[in-house]
Amino acid sequence: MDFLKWYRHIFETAGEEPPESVWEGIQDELDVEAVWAAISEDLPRKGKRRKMLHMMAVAASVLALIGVGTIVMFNIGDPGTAIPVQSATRYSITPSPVDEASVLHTGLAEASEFPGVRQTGPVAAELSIHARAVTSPAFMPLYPRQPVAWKAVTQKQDAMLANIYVPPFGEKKAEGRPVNAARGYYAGMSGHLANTWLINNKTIQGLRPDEFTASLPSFGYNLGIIAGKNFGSRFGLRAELSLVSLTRQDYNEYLHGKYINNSMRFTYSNLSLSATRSFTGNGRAGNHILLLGAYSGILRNAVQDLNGEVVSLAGDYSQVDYGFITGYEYEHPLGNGLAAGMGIQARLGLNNIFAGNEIVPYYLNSTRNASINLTFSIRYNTR
Amino acid sequence: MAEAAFNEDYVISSCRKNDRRAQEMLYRHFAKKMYSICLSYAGERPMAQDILQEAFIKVFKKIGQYKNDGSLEGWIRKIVVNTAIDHIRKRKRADDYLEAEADEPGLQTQNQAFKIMGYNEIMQQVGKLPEGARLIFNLHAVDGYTHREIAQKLEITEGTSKSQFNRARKLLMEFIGNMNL
Repeated sequence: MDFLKWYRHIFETAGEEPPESVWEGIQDELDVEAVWAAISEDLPRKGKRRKMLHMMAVAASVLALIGVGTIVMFNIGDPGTAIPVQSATRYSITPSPVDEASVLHTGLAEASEFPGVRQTGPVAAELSIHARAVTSPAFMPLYPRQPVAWKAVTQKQDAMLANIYVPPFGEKKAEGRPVNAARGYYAGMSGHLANTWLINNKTIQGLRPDEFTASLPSFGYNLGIIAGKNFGSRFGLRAELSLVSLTRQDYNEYLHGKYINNSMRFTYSNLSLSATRSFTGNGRAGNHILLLGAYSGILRNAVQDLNGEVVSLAGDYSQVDYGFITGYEYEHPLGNGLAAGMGIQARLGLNNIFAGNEIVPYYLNSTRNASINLTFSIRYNTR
Repeated sequence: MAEAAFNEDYVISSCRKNDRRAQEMLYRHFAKKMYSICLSYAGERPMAQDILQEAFIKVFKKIGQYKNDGSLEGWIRKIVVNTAIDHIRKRKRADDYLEAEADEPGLQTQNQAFKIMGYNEIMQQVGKLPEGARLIFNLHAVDGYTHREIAQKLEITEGTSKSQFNRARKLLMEFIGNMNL
């Protein structure tokens, strides 16, 4: 055999397997390329995104101001606390002679001073507003000092008011059983079962079926206490302190030639403050509550679990997180002031929780918390 | 990864979508053969591994340019050889040639000793050649480039290519002969 033929043959047939480190090196290089491609694609959009975030923050602030303003405004004229809820029954108007002198003397100080009108509940509330309004100094000049005529007009108006009273959404007029309109303070315990997500490039790319890393649905929980105040039957403020709030994000990741489970776990303590809007349920049903607010959390612990090997990430992540909350809750009265609440909440963090490390700066791995929470609470309402 | 049936069309189209599984499949299918080529050019394992790694990264980046009109193996092989040449050039040892010496015909079949040599032994001996001479020897002996092509590729004269090849072959056979004596 010719030497050159033999030489060619031996290289083509014998050979040897390259070490595994070569493939690992190729993968690392390709990963770096992929990350850089994602970054360079992302960089021009950064400015726009930041602008949008600022606009969203401004819009949220305006909404919050409107919400607080609305609560304050409604609270000023809301006589709810003056009228016992349990007494909302029927009303009737019985025409009877009215003592003109007494009406003039008292100036219609209270609606209950109408001898012919017995009112309770929501109707009484409306009448009470009216009565207060007409006795206010601002209102009085509108009525000429003609006692008899004025009395007749106001009496007519009050009777009309009683007849045209339209109950708030979902509330029935006097059915013999009290409607559920929790007022005053409440406090209790709360728990959430949360589908949590770390919103960053890795998680988003991991949702694409053709990607190598798979982002898995991950679940955490919140445990804490809840307290709040209802201002009348519609609006309220609620604070919720989650003593333990577990956020996690799991990945099925291809690393060094094999798949491994990568679980990121963050434990926070959160405080949230929300404005609530109640829609009283039909008849015997409970309350439907919408809420909008904000939360802030302190990081207690952050770890990464790579196939059972746990490493701390506390130094890589910000100690503070904050964001928006919005949600819905159904509140069901249990009697004796107790109520159970069940609902759903969406939470979106506004803060980049990745603080950076010696390899990746914070701005190259922008990460936000987000979750969809099923909420449960049990609370005691004061009257 | 256990090598499954290698469906070339599927692997190529998946590699074009940056599917890592397909990339691994392609790598594992050709790694052994290409590593041998790298070894023959590099003459040492660490450098051969660097060349192989760099070459496959190029393969995955340029797979979109591959037209299915020729053999995939040939296309990859060309990338590997060009990478090896670049690598040796970067080390500025491509002009590391053998000193001129009178040819001694008759050595080329010295005892047919090479026939009983193993791959590792021949690799060891190839590694002893100066890089420039080894490059020319492999381009001609393994990859079948003509001396004209080698001259163009390495920007040397055709005569240099021929003489370096002959000297490299002679030296290699001497090494082998000495080992079996």
